[in-house]
Amino acid sequence: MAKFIKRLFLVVFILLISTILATTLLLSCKEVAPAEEAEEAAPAEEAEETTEVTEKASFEGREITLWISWGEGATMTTFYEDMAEDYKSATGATVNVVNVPISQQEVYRPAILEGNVPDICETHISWAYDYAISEGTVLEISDIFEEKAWDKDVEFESIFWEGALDQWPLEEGSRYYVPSQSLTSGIFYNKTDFDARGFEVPKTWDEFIPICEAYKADGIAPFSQDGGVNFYNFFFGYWFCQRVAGPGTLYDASKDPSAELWDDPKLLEAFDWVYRISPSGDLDYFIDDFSGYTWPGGQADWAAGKGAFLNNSACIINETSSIVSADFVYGFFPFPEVTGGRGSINGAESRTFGFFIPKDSENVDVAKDFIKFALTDKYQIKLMDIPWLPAVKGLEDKLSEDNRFYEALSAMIEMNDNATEVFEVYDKTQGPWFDTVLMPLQDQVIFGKITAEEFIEKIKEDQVEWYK
Amino acid sequence: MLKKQKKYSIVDIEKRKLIYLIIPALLLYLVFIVYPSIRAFAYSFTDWSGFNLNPIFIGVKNFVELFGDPKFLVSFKNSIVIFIVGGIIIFAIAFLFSSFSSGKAKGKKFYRAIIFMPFILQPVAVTTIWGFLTNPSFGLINIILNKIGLGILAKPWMSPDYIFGLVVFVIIWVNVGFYLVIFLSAIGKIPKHLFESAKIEGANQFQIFTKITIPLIYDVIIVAFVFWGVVSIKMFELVYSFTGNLARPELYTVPVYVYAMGFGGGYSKIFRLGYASSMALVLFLIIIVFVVLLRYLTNKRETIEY
Repeated sequence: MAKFIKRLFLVVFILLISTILATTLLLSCKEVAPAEEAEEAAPAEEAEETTEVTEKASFEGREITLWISWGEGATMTTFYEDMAEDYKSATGATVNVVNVPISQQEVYRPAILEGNVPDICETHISWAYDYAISEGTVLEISDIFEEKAWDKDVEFESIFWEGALDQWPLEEGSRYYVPSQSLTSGIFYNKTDFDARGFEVPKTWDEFIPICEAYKADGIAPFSQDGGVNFYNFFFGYWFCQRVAGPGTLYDASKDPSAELWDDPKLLEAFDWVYRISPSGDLDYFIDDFSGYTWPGGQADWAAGKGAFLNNSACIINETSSIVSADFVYGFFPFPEVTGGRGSINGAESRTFGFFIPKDSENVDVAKDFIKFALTDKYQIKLMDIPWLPAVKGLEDKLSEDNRFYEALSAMIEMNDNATEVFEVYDKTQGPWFDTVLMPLQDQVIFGKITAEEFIEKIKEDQVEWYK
Repeated sequence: MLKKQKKYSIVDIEKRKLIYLIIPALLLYLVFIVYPSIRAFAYSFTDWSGFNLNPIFIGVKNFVELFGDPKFLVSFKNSIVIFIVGGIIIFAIAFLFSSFSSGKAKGKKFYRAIIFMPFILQPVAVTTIWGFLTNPSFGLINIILNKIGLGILAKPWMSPDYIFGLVVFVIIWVNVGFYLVIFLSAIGKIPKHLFESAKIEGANQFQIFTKITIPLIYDVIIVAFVFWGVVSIKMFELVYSFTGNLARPELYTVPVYVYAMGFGGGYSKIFRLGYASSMALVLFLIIIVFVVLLRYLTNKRETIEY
């Protein structure tokens, strides 16, 4: 028995050592790979330089993989699958559409390490920056913007609405991302009910407050809200910051390690507005017990008419369109401005989705061509049926009045047309600071647990600590 | 001269076969458990996003940061509360029902099935069900409380003030059936004559339970307790579902926080695999200490035979 145990231990020990050595060896091969990769990548780059991408180039027999940030069966998935089929008919290349929803980064990271990347990723621009571009894993594609568009005899760069293209700083003039569709946030409402009550779309909170009071008097909460989703709650803090303190103020305050920028009285005023509409404030505009709502309870109650307005992103239309009543007409207006505030109602949010090409893609030429194909008018117009806003400009008149979401979409397009300044959602503050410092505290303001003064005091303390 | 041949008995040959039989499983274990664990140990001393193969060695900085990180401390506290409070209530209910169900009560199989059912539900389904049940506007719980005149108890259960309590309650609701089944099968193994003798000698139900049942299933209780300790400290899916894609940091347990820090999952966009590895290492050490302690306590006890 003792001999058997001895042998067993010996076998186990040898196996353990050999496995560790083998795996380490394998990984070491991978670790020295950058140089090899560079060598291997060289021909691809050469090919890229010599293969000039022309309109309707033939890529017969070629195959690319497109990761999309939508789930199976989603409208956007069908949209991309149809596009892939059309692209095959036009160029002969096969586009394999792969669903990698929400947490694309979880799959992207191992794919990068394994060298098994997709040829194109379609995702939200801030996610792309946080997990792909900032980590240096994305191919610079500035050249694509100098080429011709797929369906027009103009430079590709000239087809974009500026608000969609210029949301993120360029590194030394380089571009890594092509926006494909745009999204915004603001106040959504049932236009049928709103119009029936004889209200006019408010431009300021002075105009908006009487409307909210009228709803309250009728037993309808002015705002329904999924209080369990902190970044939904922050749509209020963020928008008040944009309107009262002005775009960029929140961003600057978030980047200040001394946290002194939070002493700006306009930031205090912005969060005081949040407190005022909270259950502890003088206005008290939220649906009862909204802090206990989990998604999608709040938006479902809004769709059912228990709340008059929803301050959220335009995704809300798609998410609620199957549960609203037949006479429900989606309306939209920009978050009203605050008298005396630094921001105006002409400040618009543009949150873009789009494409990037990983550095290790083996089909860069086809990937670039497909991206240009996706930005043709046909698909950009089709986006409005889903509904999304196109990233391409000049398509406003293509919005059909038969579109079920016509009213809301035309209001959003009008907002973009009138925009004097465009900013990214949450004033571009999303990231570790946003999750760690801001989210827990802003929740307490909107739930009426702490006042704006307490919020400013606390966030300064937490931020100084956080930057340490 | 003939070399003396070594003789193997049939038993030896069978044992040698055993070695070959365990090799595939052992290989998988080494590749997918042992090796990654060793690497994770090494990564816990690095600053590494996971997007490249060049982690930066930073010594024990991750561990220093960890013990001053308020979110980690909240997560750690939550894990401990789930383990202790959840454990006490789960075991108390499981004992209570097992003593009831092991008797001759009518419909005991039905109750047993009802209590066990939540355990087989998917955690996400459980969260969705409770999300609907506790909705402040149309949730069944508040509606019933209002209807029976207990409206004062109707609360926004998913709000920050109540949600952790609700999560602990749901964890108990899900797990109690599993431990009930374990205790029932252990009680079923106790010879009936022991209970009968005790009854003849005038012992009441409480005395039978404390003097006969518990001592005789003590080993099972310890195993169940160790199991609960590991399960509760590792608890992820259910708590993660309640956080709504990581949007409620006040609910994080240590494994959920490890995920949030290391994998940029849900709406978190943090990629600190080195820091997450240091947390995982601390979690691993906690579990090891816990298991060793319980093994020590169990081994001290005499074996009971009947």
